[in-house]
Amino acid sequence: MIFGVCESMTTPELLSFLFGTSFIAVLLGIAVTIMMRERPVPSEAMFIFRVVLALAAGGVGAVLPGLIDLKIGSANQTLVQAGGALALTVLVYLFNPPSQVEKLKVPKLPRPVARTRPGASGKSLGGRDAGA
Amino acid sequence: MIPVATLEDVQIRWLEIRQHGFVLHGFLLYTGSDQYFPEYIGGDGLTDLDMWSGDRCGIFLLHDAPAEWAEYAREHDHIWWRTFGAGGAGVDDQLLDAPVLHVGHGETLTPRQMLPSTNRGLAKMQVVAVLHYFGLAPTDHPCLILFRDLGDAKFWHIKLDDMLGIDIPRLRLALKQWFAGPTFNRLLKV
Repeated sequence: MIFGVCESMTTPELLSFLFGTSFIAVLLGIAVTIMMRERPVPSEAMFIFRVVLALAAGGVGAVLPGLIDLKIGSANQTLVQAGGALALTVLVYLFNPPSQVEKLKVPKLPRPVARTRPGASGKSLGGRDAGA
Repeated sequence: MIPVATLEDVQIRWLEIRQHGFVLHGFLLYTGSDQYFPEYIGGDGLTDLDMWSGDRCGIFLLHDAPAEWAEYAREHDHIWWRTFGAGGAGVDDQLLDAPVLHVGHGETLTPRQMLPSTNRGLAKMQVVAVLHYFGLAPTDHPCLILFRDLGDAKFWHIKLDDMLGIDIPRLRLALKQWFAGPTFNRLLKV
């Protein structure tokens, strides 16, 4: 069925669909890797995810049936006007999915690092041996 | 949780504190600009952490003890009340919070409101003094330092840089999870 849909696509549509799906797949892979490492994601990476995800959404949106018309601004001044795939790109960029996830995340305290106090005599100030 | 003003406060009263029998002691260090640590501690943080750290761990904070804390500590016969509170604080909190000046339209001012606020630069120097005592750099805050005895050479250092800038509910949850977790329980075992 998928191949049937692909056959009916024009070359630009097929390219945008392939672009969108491949980038979504790559981002999914990166997200899984990051989650498994349990390390904080740098803000620069978050911005790249945001931009690539918005473009990928536009790529997939280009072949999705249906209409979307986006207007952002006040009643007498339109700041952004977009339709179709571009509207989807703008919507995903403004919604900013990576930051939504970041807002929900509770960071974990790092492991305690055992250290030695410089100039310590090692004697308990309390007159009692301190267990280590 | 034991709010203190300086490292010397702890050193002077160390014998008294040691007699309480805490297995683990510590310092939770942050400055006024380490968001949102002071905001959280100034709110529910002090009693939250006191509850989570339990009666086997005493953690010192370089933070002004609010009037509400003094009341809580007095009611619970808390070590802070016995060591620093009753007669140790200098001026009674009730006197500091008593309305003494009427400024029209029913509004009043308390001596605490009229006193100059704590100098933030001097408060930061107290944090640096503790970091220096443990041989840490002045930039190593916010952090949690844990030790068995103030005179011990060995201590544990937990960097809290990742907690900076996160909102109070998530900061609270992160600390709660840590105090409920295996790392803290392992450290409590002698």
